Amino acid sequence: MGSKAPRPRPSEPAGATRRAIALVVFCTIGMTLAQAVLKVALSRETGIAALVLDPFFLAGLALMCASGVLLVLALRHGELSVVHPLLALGFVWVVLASFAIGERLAWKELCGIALIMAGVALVGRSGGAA
Amino acid sequence: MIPLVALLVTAMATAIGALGALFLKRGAHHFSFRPAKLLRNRQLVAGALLYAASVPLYLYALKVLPLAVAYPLTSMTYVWSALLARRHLNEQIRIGRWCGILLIVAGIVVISV
Repeated sequence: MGSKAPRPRPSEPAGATRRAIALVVFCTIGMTLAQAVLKVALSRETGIAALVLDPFFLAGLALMCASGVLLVLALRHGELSVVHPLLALGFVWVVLASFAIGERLAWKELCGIALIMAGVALVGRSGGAA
Repeated sequence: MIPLVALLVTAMATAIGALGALFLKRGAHHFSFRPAKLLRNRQLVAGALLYAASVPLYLYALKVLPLAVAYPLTSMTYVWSALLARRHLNEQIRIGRWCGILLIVAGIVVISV
């Protein structure tokens, strides 16, 4: 990998960064949904044969693939050092979803997602998206 | 007592995941929905394979290590990818972005410990 000298490339323009951030947001929502749906499918403990016909399992796989495509599209528009850390938004969605289904949030979870959201804001601004 | 091997495997998983992201980024500029073009995009295929390779390592880590150790370790992948982006993609990472990345890592640590 180190054999080829890296090509100098200017930072991505602000509009591209904004598009990349929007794509990552949808990507992380898709991944969180995929995990939830796959968990339902895998917790049923039926055989492999039943699993590949399980609509939840298939929906989970489809969501995973769609999220993968969104990640690649996000990487096309935004810088790697902006797009990759924003994947941590998945943690935020998980905590918010558990709140939505009536689970009580612990203080550390609230503090944790506050820190992540502050970090996401800083990383997003650093890409010129503010 | 946390097995050292498990910590090393987890660290490897984060490094492989970051490498996968680097290759995905390099291949992303030639992304196409046409399967034939998709499979000929070597960088993209390499990125996807590296990502896939990191998954069983992560699963092993989550199985062997307490979550309070495994999750904070996995967040290191964002630090590796930033270093790789600076070295191999010439991305300029100023202090604000580093602080943002460290806040994200800190948030994951706070949630999981």
